[in-house]
Amino acid sequence: MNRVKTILNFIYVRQLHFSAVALGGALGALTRTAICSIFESQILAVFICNVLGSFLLSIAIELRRHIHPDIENMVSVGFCGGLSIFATFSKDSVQALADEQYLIFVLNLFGNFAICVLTVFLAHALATYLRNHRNWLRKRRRAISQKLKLSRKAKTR
Amino acid sequence: MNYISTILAVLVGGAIGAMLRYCLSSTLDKNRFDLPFGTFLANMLASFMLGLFLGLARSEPTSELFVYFTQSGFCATLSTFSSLAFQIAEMLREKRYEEAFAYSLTTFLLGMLLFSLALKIF
Repeated sequence: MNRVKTILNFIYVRQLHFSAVALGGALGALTRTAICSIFESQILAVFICNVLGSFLLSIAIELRRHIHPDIENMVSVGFCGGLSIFATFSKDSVQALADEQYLIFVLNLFGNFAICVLTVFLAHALATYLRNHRNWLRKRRRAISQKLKLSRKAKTR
Repeated sequence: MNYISTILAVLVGGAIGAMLRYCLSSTLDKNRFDLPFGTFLANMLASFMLGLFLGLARSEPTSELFVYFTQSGFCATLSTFSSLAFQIAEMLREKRYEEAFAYSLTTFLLGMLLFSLALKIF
């Protein structure tokens, strides 16, 4: 009975987190189904979804400090987790092996793993650039206003 | 009407799978081995269940709604590739190359094995 109470308390305290994640997951699954219906080849559609999901997940986790944690959970755990998929990837691998299409099997395996990991590194670099240069616009504005002030002083002299 | 029911099936299945994966990964991903057991368990469970549902759909007459709900909705959001890629990249960044290779290889091989085993059940 105590264990049931702790589980219910867990859910009650975290129901906002659960709802956010559930909403994100639902939307991610929906977009993935839409993308799969656009492309004829399921392998290509799953690959595109995985790359997009990896990129978005890495960006969301890198910029975690600037986003509300529930929104970040919704986007990363929910949406990206629904957009990317591993189960269909393993199904396609098994099918490719069974049909003896070894080239497709190897391309699927290495393409998915390597390009998704590379996308994560790329997103990490992009996020670092964004974090370091987020004052770029303010500095440009300040530089432009200082130039205007100097030119005005030169005109009045 | 067919579109709406399909969309609803995918939405509800996706929500359930995402919540389950959130539970697993939030509790089991942080441990003293620094290995993401939660995501691993979720991926393996999803591969196995995809095999189950695929075998079920092939051997017995199932409605298209059930197929979308389980395969496109539940199993798809229970498994994730983006978290996997992020964890592998994190391991590579911390120069834990053996763990990265072992984790990716184990996930891939065990996923394929569980899927093919589950297909043969039906």
